[in-house]
Amino acid sequence: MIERFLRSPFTMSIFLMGIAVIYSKSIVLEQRDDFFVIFSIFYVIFVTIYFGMMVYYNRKFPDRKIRIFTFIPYELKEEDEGHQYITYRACRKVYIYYYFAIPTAIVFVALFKGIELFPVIILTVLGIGQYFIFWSEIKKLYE
Amino acid sequence: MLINRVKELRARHSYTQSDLGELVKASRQTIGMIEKGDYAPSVLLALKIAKALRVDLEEVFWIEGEDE
Repeated sequence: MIERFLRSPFTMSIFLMGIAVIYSKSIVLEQRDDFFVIFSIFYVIFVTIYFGMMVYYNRKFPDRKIRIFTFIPYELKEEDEGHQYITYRACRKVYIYYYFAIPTAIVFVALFKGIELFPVIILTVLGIGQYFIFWSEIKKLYE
Repeated sequence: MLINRVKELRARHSYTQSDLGELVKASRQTIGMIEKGDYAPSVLLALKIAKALRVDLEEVFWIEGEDE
């Protein structure tokens, strides 16, 4: 269960949305109000809990450690050839998704260039789309 | 399409998916995907599975439409 949470693309979506909200409020809108402070605190707590759980998991299951410092995203699970196959399928779907999504996003950014937050929103939506597509394929590993 | 009777032969030996996975150095999920036909194993893994189930390769895996 812990591993599923740590490797979940949805957990990564929460990370992404958190960064998007903090960036939008502090840099784009320059609104460092109470909501921004509370949200930032919760975000830091969430990140601390996440990595704390990872340390706990690595101590409890030393044979199935998740590397904390790595260039390979945590949600990629490639323990054997079956996992590698599912990961390959998921990455292929994500590539096809970006093949169409990036040009579409460029068009939308050009159309809505008046909206200050639009580039952040579209990047966040692209990222969430990626995680959702990846999850739709790798969920087979958890069935 | 590759057909298999891993599940049936595994049950004959009273192996769980995890037991068979340990014998062939694969995960429970991979064994599950092979049984469901979601994934065609490599020749190496197929041979390991056949050996673990103590049968010939052709008794575990065969191509759809061909005789078992």
